[in-house]
Amino acid sequence: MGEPVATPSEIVRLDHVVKRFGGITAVNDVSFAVATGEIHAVVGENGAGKSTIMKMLAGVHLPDAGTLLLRGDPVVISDPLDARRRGISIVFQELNLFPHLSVAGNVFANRELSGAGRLLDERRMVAETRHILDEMGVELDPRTKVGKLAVGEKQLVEIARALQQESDIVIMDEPNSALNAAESERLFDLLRRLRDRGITIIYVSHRLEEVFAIADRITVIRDGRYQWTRPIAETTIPDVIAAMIGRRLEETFPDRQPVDPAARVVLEVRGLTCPPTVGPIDFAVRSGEIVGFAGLEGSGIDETLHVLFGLGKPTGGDVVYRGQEGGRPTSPFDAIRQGFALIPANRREEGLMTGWSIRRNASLCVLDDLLDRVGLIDRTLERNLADGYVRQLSVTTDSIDKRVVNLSGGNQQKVVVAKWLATEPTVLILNDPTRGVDIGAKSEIYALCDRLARGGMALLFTSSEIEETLGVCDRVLVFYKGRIIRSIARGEASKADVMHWVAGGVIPEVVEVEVAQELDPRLPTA
Amino acid sequence: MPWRRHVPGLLDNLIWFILVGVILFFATQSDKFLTPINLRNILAAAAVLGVLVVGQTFVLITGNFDLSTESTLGLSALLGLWLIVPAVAPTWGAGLLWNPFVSIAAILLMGAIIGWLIGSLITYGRMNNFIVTLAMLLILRGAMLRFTEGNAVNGLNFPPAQVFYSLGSAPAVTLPWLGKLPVAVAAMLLLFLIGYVILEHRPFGRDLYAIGGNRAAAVASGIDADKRIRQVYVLSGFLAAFGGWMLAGRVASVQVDLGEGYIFQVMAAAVIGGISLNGGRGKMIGALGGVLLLSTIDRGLNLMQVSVFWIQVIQGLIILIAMFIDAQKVRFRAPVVDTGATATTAGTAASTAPAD
Repeated sequence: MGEPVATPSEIVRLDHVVKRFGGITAVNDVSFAVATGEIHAVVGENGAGKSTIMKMLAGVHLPDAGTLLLRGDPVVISDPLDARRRGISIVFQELNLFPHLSVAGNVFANRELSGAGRLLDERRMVAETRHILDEMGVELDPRTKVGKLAVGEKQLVEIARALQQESDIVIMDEPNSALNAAESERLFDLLRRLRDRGITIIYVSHRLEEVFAIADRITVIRDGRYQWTRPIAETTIPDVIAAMIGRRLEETFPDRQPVDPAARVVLEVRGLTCPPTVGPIDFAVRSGEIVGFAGLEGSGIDETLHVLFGLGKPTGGDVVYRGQEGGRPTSPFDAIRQGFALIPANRREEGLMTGWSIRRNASLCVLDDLLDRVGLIDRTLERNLADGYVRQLSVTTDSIDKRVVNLSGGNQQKVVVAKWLATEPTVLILNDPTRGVDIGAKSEIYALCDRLARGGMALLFTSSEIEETLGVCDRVLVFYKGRIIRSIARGEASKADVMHWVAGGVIPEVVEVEVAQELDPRLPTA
Repeated sequence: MPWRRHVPGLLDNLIWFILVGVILFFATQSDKFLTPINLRNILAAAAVLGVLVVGQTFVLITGNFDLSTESTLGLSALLGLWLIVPAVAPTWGAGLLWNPFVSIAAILLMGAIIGWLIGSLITYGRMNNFIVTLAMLLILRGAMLRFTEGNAVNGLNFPPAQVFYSLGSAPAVTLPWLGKLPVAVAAMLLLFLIGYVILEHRPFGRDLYAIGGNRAAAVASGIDADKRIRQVYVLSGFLAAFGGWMLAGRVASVQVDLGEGYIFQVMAAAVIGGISLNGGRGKMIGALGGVLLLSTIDRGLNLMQVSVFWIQVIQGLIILIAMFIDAQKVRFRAPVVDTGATATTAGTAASTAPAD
């Protein structure tokens, strides 16, 4: 961990900055500097702490320790408004726009110009917005409703808003996640021109091809810690990947026995199509097998899992479930009845009733099996069910009547698992089951997957951390743009290989060549 | 602060403390208040309101509204009598002279069908529940006018109409001191009991709380939210028609404005009883408390000969106070919720922040 590269004109410096959430340190003693008028990329894996750092700069979080320096002076950025006053604008990956307002209305949101009689001066706002858009070289009618714009155009509106506020530091948080190639190229072009005007751009991403195409310098963050900062010309994609992955706190993955090739195929997907994101795809899962899906956001994994669980409507293809043709689930209710269970990625939105007790959450899907003779829910059966799973999964709680909102992330996830194990599924789908879960609970979840598979359950597993998918699964299917482009047996490929494949099979050497030629805009960003 | 832990529980049951307090207050204001006949009147007045509140509670728990119940009630009461009485003055019926039992079955069925229609518009039609039921409130009231051409339907001197009175005003049980309780009161209490059992002890009730609490999670848990919502509207419509039968029996003669304005009382009672308008929260027993409190205050103020204008003001104030108490519940739960929220955010940020 070297010292940050010193630059004569630093606009932003982080000095031993720490941010903790509860017991977990998201940003751990990070120091680096951003020079005035550069495009500075900050890269790292999911959860490395990039976004947390940016949120501190944007006034969303306050550092627990350490100092932020702005133009050489220590500052406390107390809230987003304060950040804006200090010239920092952030373009979040989840766009913060008002769809029902016009472009001009969004650019001037909360800073509306008023004319005579304190009425809004619509004409002046439209004119100024047009002026800003012209400067950006963007052809967009300021009177268009933002809701009608494409994602790329919305991003431009966000940038226009930053410019209107005369920000000299613009933070782009994963700006490209939803852009197509042409939109990306336009965005890059604009960013370069803004830089040439002296605006500093901090560009957060984990898409390295992109970063190498646009950034002047690059900072790598791993597990909340600063790794290094280098000029882009002095590093390569493999270097960066190595620094991003590093040697991490080893999570212990269970050993897997080879799957019995004679085991029954419990799920077979043939030509499943769900435009525009999925298919056609084919795969089969045997009883006792853990099949992993690897891919970037937008590669179709989420949609595939949703379709299998009856939450999405496919336009074509077959799902053969336990040898029964045409068993494509039409609703979650149907899917559950057919023996599917889905542990969703966002447990607070889809996984749990956060205000409910552990007991009520655990029993929600199987209430009909817990009735007494007169058809009422039998409290004893319900308690036994919840008690059993709390013990089996070692949920840390003093009572099954505790509300799940009061549990830690790992224990909440265990309650979700309990709820679905209670349905005794044949196929258990786990969508990013370790998100927001501490390392100990992660290992428990891996061990549980192994145990369930040994018991004959078929598991579909996907995670935002590729080495997890590699570590847990018997076979990993690589998704790219809605298709399965590769199937890897356990131990057959490294994380770095998979990282390249999920980006469309681009290998580092090729990228370097293309970087030298001003990066091909057709490079996949999906 | 240990006492804070008990605050939500206390606030949840506050309605009963308030009810006792209010009764004691009126007892000191009027010696006619704590008399059997007055208490019987309070219960009798609460009966129809209570029936509507049971239905409304089911709907509210799912996070929906049913504004149409007072019109379903009015139309049912009117139609029920209209079908059995002669067409001439002074009864002004349809002249169909239906068997009263058939007519009652018909209006109960009609109530259920209206509810199913509303539920279908909301779920299949993806329409806003507030607006759909508001429209039905107007449409059904209009239908009443059309049926009767503005005449009141009178069953007073027509013997077959007695069936209506059997529910509305006939005595059911005789209690010591309190005297003879009308069938209507017993029916209302029974419905609250059934409602309580369904909400607390049947999977159906759990589903409703799940839908109102977190619809996305409910659907992902295999609950057919749309079907459940149609079912609660059927229940609400059915109970509104049942309330119509009850009210027709009390008043004997049905004007076209029968039941008008009930919806405010229904919503007030539910809210006072702790039913959250956001769905997912509230108990049937609390709703009963709300009903009793409203009718107690109504009756008490009448006894004190408070002007009718003031009664409305006071009812409005009670609703505000109830909402205030409800807001405090959320506030006192906040410290607990915060710990959990921080813990989850922490986990999320540290390992695989979705924003990263």
